[in-house]
Amino acid sequence: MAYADMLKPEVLEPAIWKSLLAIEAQAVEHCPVALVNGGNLRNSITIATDKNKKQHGASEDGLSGGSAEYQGVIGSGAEYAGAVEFGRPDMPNYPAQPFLRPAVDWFRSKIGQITGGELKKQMEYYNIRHPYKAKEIIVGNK
Amino acid sequence: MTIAQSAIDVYLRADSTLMNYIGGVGAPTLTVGRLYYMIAPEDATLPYVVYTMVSNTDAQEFFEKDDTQARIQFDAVCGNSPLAQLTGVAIDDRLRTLLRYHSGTLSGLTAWMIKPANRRERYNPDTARYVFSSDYIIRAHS
Repeated sequence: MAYADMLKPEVLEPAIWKSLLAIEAQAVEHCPVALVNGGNLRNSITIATDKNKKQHGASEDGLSGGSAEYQGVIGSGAEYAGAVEFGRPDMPNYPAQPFLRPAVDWFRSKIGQITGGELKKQMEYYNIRHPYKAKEIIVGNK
Repeated sequence: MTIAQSAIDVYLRADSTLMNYIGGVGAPTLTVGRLYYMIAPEDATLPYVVYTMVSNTDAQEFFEKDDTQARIQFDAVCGNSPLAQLTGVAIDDRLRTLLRYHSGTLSGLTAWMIKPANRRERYNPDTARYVFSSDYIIRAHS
């Protein structure tokens, strides 16, 4: 067993949510808003998490054979979001006004602080909630 | 115009192959050739290139580093005749050849690595224009 075994759903999901919230906050900051009746695009920015179960065969101890892959999604439901983000092919001199990519790029520079910090915190909570499991993982890892 | 933008601009304008496509003759100045920053003129001759600074953040990941990570989007705009499309693709390819995994000194900038991030093409039948877009992430020290 390894430290990665501590990455249970209850540990991972808060870290993913925290990351998504940070990206969303930045995307909202960058999103262009029209002066008149504006804000639809900004309000349409949405986040979600998803979990794909995967079977990788039996693990080393033969007890747990399944694992899950977690992913976070951020996007916008507005049909013109792509045109704002990348520019418009019908109006090539209409400037692209990226708002999602800058947010993701900013997040990439903070991933250690935000996701890493939250993961560390959640793993510490996991240790408190499941002291025997955590001890088993750490001792078994040697 | 930031240091990264002007460095890229001068670097690209010095390439005669690229500038031959877009109306310049290898002159490393900021005025020759149809290479525009953010917005092209309404009546710009096709083909031309528009580039946009998508983001410019600190390149801190898990370690503190005094690097910059900039993402620049290049749009090669061309008409819809077969020859024009080929020219558009050739411009996009030339940009890729010039930038992909380039490292070393650009003007006023030390690029550690230029990484292609995204590539897509769009077409609008109303204006009969193709846009070949590429994103590049530039990790540099200025």
